[in-house]
Amino acid sequence: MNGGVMNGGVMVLDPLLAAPLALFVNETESYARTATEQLLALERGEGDLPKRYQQIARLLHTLKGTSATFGLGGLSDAAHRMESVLVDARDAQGPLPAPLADALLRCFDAFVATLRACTAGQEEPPFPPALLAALGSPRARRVSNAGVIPGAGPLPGVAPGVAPGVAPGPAPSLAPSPAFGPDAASEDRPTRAILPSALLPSPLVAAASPAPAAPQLVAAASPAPAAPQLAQPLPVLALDPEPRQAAGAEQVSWLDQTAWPVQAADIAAFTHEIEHLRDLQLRIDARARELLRLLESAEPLLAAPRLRPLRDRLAELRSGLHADGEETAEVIAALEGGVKQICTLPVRTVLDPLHRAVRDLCRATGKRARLSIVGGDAVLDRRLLDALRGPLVQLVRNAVDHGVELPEARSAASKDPEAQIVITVEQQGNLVFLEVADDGAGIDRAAVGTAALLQGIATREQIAAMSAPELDRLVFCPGLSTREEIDELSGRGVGLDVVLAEVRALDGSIDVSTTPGQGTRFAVHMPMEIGSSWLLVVSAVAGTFGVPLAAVEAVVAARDEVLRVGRRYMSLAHQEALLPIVDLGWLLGLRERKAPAAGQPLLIVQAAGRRIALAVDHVGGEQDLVVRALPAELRALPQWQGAATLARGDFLLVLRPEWMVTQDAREEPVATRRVLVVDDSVTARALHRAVLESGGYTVHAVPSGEQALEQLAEAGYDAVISDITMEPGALDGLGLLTRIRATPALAHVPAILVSVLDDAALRARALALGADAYLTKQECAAGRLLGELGAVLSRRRVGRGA
Amino acid sequence: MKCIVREPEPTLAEAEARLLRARAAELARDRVDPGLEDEGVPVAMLSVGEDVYAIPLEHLRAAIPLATVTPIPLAPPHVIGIVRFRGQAVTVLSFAALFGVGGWRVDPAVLVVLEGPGSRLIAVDCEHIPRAAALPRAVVAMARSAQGARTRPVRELVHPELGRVLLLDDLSALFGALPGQGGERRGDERRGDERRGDGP
Repeated sequence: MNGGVMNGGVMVLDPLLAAPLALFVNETESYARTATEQLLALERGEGDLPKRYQQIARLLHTLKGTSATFGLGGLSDAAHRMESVLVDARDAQGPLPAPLADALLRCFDAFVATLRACTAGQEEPPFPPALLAALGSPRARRVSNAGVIPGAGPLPGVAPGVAPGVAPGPAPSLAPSPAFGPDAASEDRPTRAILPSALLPSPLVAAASPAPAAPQLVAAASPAPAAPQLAQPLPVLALDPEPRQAAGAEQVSWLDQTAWPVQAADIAAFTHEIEHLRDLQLRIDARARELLRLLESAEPLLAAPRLRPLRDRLAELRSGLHADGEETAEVIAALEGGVKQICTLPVRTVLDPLHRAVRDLCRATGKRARLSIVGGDAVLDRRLLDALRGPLVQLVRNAVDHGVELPEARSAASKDPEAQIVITVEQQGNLVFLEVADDGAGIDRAAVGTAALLQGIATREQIAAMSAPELDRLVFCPGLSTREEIDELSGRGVGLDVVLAEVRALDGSIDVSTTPGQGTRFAVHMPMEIGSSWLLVVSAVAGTFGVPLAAVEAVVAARDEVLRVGRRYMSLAHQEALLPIVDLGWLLGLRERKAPAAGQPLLIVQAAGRRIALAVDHVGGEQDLVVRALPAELRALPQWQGAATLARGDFLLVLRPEWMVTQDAREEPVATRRVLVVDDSVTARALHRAVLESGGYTVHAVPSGEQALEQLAEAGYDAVISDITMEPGALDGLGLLTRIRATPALAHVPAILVSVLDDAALRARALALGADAYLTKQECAAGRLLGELGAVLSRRRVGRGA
Repeated sequence: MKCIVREPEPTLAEAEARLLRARAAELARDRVDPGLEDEGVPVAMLSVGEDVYAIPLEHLRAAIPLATVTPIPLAPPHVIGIVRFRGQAVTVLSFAALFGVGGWRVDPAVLVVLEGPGSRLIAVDCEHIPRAAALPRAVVAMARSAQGARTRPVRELVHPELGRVLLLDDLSALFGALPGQGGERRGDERRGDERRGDGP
């Protein structure tokens, strides 16, 4: 290759060429994707065939010329050969024969792999001769000096003088260029090749240079250099889940850095800086609000004539501060947009190559299948997409190999001989939903059970006791295979267990469902660090939460006519179906379960094929918000999808619909004594909760006396533990106690008042108002609080008995 | 951040330039004064109820007011909620609930943000803004070498003046003991058996 020097057998790239070569790799990968798409369509005979042929020929011509420019003679020759046979096929005016499609697709694979090897610092390896031989011999034709093949139309992108001067022929020309003899190829050339590529002489030198080790090309699966028998099924080349790994991990790293010269750590640091800026904006907003509040409270003073200029100036400053905050918010939004653009890719970039995978697998197995993609335009984090590539390939491989029947069997079952495989992608906030579904035979549960038994995965009794979904999930067990013989595609029992492991490594989950004779679906849920989503903001008790809008079918008001309230279950008659009603406050452990009041909003939430009516206290509206994953310590909580930052910097917790819809049938816990904790301190509530739950109590906690009265009116509690001091303006502990004792229905409820103050007068007043006990918070050590509560409950019980 | 050493501006008088160079040399010297080094292990002291905790200053990132914590219903009892700190959500843990509630004198009003391995942050509550102090090295060394101390995040030591002090100096062990660090049940396995919740 021109543009480098040899150092200890390793090609050291001319720094001037490294960047353009990396761009060329990117460009070639893009061309290979386009060409694959066109070749598959040509093979199926779809669309405007001459136009498709022409497009691929142009791509090849560009690859030929650019390879030559870089001195990659072998690649230039290969592109020329591919172009020639393609033009022959075009002239034949028909669909592309499958064997030729095979050969061309493999040549594109090899082209990309060879080019990658070059960027990794290797001398250009020879293009696999077997692949070139498989292309067959192009018709002899005259080639103009500029390398333009007559009939191929005008070909853009190749500068005169850089096209390879290789005469097409029955065999690829790998002979050394007359300008550089074989001896000079490896020694002389590099020393004078540290020149800008535009100044370099004829590029065919590299073709003759003895290659070091041949790169581990994907195409190296070809058994021998002799022309393969293309009538036979080919090895499945495109299905290597990690094709980049084939050329070595170091190369991948190098390539990744070059192809996308932004490091993930840099992006993370940049994102942190943006968040810093957001903090700044929040502080500016808070100060503007504080200034406004001060101005309003000082209005009577500032209204004095001599202070009016001061008031006006302060108002001006506040207005300016507010405007600064808004401008900062706009800058943050723009920066976030830029980061998003850098860090994301359309899902299609990962999914489109699977068309080729399905096609190659079908060729190898004699099956017929078509892949459809729904939601391919969604954009996701590049790193997540990279991580998903392997599992997706494996799921598609599994669908074709195990799910789809042979055409004859499908016809016999009155199915279309061509099977459908559908990949669906959907993003909800920071969650990605991926589904790979086929309309094949479904999982053969008997065969899975037998295989599990034979392979020692489960005993006969265990298998007999398994439900259908449990049997289906056996397909994820390591070592399980229903194949009796190992072939190139399956039989080793390695595949879906790897998918499961990879999905779990990404903190995701995978599930399988199947209908015998109708098909199988694999559903993958994957969390992302960040993602935006429309949320419906709702409240329950004193909390505000977000529900992904995509999961909300409708919001209806509770009416007696549509409610069915039983002793244990409540249902909503909705569109000819009875949906279980789930109270959000109860669901989150914030209060006892209660029947919806007339007019109370009910959200029809659907997820994972189930629907519930979610009763909330209030619906606040829809917002498009950025949802982030919770900190690592909290990610295992199944209830929460993540948290969104609201305008003032506080968090909105986002509920996971898949969790909510499974909770209606949840068993009520064994009846325990219930305690209502009232404290305006979030830490005090947490501490009381920790102590009381350790003593076996069910605890609900609220931050104010008013909310405590609401809770007490709706549900019965065995005791109330209340702080005395509350926030200014709120009903304090003494006031709450007075109201409790004055309410006949509540007067009997034991109440313990707590305070940070060890004050005899306060203690006496609390007891005089009817408190059962008074404790300082210092006395609220686990044993003392539980002991006092137990004693109070005993006294009350004895009192009632007496 | 890239630091660029700059020479004094040429317009400065030589005396001023000398002064600036002397100041720069002063600033460039080791920040830890060898004299101070002898004083002991620098820590932040905080109290929860009757207990006195010491946290090595190297782990301390900030002390912020406990004002905008968002409670997480159905979280474990030692989790108070999450708080926004420098743009990221940080889990707030209850010191007392984590290490055993021994009562508290005032409602905690301060959060101490700690940085653990891998730059992970957590916040813990305390009753007052922590104060800086130094623990005798010998006492700390003895506590660290005590039997079983290696596996516990908190080591107990007896300070000559303060009495019993709980030294929280192994944040790796603390983080390792928290949910989400492996070994804990997966979220879906806990489904349905947790009925606790805290009103925000």
